Amino acid sequence: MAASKKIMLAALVALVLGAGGFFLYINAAFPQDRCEGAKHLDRPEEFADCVTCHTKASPKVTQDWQESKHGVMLVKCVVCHGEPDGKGSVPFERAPDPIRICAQCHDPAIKRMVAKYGSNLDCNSCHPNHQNPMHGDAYENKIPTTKISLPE
Amino acid sequence: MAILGFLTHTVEGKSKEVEAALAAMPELSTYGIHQDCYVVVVAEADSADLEGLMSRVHALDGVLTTYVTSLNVEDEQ
Amino acid sequence: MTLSRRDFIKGSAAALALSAIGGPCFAAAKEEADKWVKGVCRYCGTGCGVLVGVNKDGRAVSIKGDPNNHNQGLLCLKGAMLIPVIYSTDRITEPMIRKDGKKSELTKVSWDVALDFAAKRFKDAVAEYGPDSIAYYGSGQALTEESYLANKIWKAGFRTNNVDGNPRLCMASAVGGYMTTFGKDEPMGTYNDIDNATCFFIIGSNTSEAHPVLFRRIARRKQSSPDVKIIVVDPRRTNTSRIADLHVFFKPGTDLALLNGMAHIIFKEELDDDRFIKRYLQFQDNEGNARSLEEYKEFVAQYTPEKVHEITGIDPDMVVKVARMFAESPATLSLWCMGINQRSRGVWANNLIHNLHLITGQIGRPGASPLSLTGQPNACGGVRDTGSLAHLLPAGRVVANEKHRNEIEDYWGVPRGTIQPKMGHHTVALFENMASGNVKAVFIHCTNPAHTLPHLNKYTKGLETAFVAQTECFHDAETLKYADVVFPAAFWCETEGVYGCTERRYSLIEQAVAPAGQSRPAVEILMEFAKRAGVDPKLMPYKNSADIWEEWRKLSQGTPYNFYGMTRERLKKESGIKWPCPSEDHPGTDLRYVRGEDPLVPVNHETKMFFYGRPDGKPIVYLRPYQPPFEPADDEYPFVLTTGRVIDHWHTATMTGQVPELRKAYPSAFVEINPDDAKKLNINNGDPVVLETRRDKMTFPARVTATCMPGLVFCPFFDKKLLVNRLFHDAVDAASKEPEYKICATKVYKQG
Repeated sequence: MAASKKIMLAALVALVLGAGGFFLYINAAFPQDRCEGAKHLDRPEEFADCVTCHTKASPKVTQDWQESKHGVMLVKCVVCHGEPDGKGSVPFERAPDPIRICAQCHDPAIKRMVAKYGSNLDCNSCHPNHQNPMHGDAYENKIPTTKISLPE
Repeated sequence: MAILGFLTHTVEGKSKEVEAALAAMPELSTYGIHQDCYVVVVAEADSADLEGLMSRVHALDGVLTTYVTSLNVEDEQ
Repeated sequence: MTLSRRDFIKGSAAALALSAIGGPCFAAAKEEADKWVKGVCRYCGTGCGVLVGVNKDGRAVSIKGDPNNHNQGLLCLKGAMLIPVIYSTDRITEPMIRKDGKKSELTKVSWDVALDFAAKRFKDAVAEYGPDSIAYYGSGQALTEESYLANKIWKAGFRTNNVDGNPRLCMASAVGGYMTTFGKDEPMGTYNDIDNATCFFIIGSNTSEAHPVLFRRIARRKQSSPDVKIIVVDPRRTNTSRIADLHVFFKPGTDLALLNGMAHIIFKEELDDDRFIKRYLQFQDNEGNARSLEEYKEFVAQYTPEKVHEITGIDPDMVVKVARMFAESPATLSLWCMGINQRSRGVWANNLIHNLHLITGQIGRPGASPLSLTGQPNACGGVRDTGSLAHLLPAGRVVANEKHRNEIEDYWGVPRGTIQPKMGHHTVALFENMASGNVKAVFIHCTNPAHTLPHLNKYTKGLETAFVAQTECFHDAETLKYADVVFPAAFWCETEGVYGCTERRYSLIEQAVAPAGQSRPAVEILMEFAKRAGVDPKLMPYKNSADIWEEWRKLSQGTPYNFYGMTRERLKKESGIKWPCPSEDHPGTDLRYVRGEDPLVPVNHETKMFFYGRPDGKPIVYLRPYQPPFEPADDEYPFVLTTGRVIDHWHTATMTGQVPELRKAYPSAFVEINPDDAKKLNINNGDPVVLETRRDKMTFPARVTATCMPGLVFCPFFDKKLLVNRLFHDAVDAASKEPEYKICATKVYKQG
């Protein structure tokens, strides 16, 4: 079985080398935060229309966004993530930088949270940016049946 | 049988759950969670079944998307 | 160690997958802001406060919402991407002229050459044809100081009332509505009403896309109290309807019948406020004759739910439901925008909304108000309040009134009789007169009429004929094609000035960065130009825009627009103040016309509300019959075409088009068509679709969605390659002279 072991060893070495090469290639070809749209979209002028592809490419996350506050308010993908070719005015990032991106709108909230819990500047870990649906059923279409009184 | 290597990109905080769900599927074996959000997975199935298998993976709660990195069909009869 | 071939392949598959993950990522180095400069967003009439982050080199690097302004730190996607607009490569940085007429190229020249070139043409025109041969066409985006100054230069300096502007195209009907019903312009409520309202009646407004930050406030209100009801009345089911309890589709242009029908139900079911009606209201018909409450009731009784259904297509039960919701709610807030204003019966539609609030007493309480939304950031503060329109003078005065003219002449230090008693040309008439040669030269400031006028093929002739001097920031503006002189103006936050938004709130935009290239603040351009064109320099004794503000602030004293308390220092400290604000220690007013809230109502006034805008203190409820739009759909042109906005672009996209993300979100215009219509016409998503009206025909890519109701097609108007206004007629409201951009008849077919 020695010969077979040798072959196996050679194969493992080849595998490691191959994997290493592939690693380098992949890193160069796709940056860590990637969107295949940058490579495959035939109409680059539509780079910012993320939802069209992502309804298919990542339906769950699109659905989550759609139902989240950001979705209802039409805070679109590019506002926080930038456009896939990285040539836009917002840097292309999977996890947007809270200081630069979230603070544009949520600076008062960030200041409050930092005062309360210290400077763990990772908004998303407690407030998932996409999975924050409007609480309760306020956003469902329902016909009210009762008359309410004006809150004092 | 085809062998398919792919990455499963998960929602942050859900990777363990996803890994367990993937491991529970008989066609799949998992190779750990990386960077808290990628599960390395290898599938072994008839190539005719691969599409159905992948859509089942996509339907799992917490899965954002998958990146297929290799496919081997040499052994298929 | 044994490793089967299968295991090996599986191992390598795993390794490949693993290797594809890659290393950790490093965020691009970010530029830190050194100081934050307070301002207001450049885009819509919401008027969100912003803080511009400037780095050590004096370059703007970031932006965030002002936590102390009404937006509480929030911005919409356009506002969040304002910084790249300042540094766009498309900026005009040098003055340009066309030496040899419209056909020649724009060439760069010095400021002196450009100013003299323009001034000479204006001077010559005045000398040869009189002052009414020149005009100023301004903007609801210009700073208050600029509009006030231009108004003074033209009306008292050149002595012509040919001063108009793009607010004529968007807000004139709302002005007409408030003026005719309450006697004075501007809403009585504020955005704070959103937090107190229990029912929202949103009609003719896609708040979600046109005023996103306000929409968010409405959504938050709904979220905090799910019993809050939201009614959206719109022939398009837009994103705004996502939070609505009721969405009401109706045949475009028939909403007057619905509003009268609601009034009928309110009386029939005794949902009216009899006490309020008896104490405060008077009734009038179209001819101006006084009518009684009984006559009004009889008048609206013709609009039974069945009749309304016949006219509008709305289910009779729905009419009743909407009327009940409106009237039974403890506090109803109406919000409307261009769907009501840009109509051949825009003023009437405005009156009818006010009617509903008056007969139910839904006014003057927190959350109960008719609040008209503005499209532009400074249409209210800059143009409506300073009276920079053809028929107005500052602070609610009109040119037709001799007393008003004399007051202004005395204040400006010009002899009585300087200001002409005759109204100037309103926008559509102005461009008609340019085409016919009556108006020889026009100064266009901060707007893009070659893109926004209705019936463009007709009115661009005016721009081709007359001499056009223009201030502009971007090469992308369509009007540049017609400009004889282009003055590069300092852009937003490159100069200082005041913006006044929908809710009577004035906020100061402070200068954050130096003007790009050779561009100069428009105030300087206007003064330099006017001096060279022969206007008495004594009329313009200003060093900077703060001096102009001082003059305007003092002029407002004692008028219903009183904001004497808003000194420049105070505006620098505070994030916007709402007038009336008569003294420096006054905090500003939320509820206008209400005793104890509005400083202009005497503290010991005998009733809680005092509508001091009217001489008799009584607002008017009008008997306005239903009238169809100017050009409804017919057999030959079976579809209704309407235009509007998308969230990513603002107006003619000269600014939003500079931001890659916004440009690529909607790179071009499209036509939205209902799936049922699309099926009948064999149109698929993306197909080229021809819209043919009585004026012109154009091809748009199709977007098949259920947003539009059947029979309606929609095009956004931002795209200068597809100028949808070429398809539109030029019918205007009889009173406000605002064109009907929202409704015209069209043929729709697939290009083949």
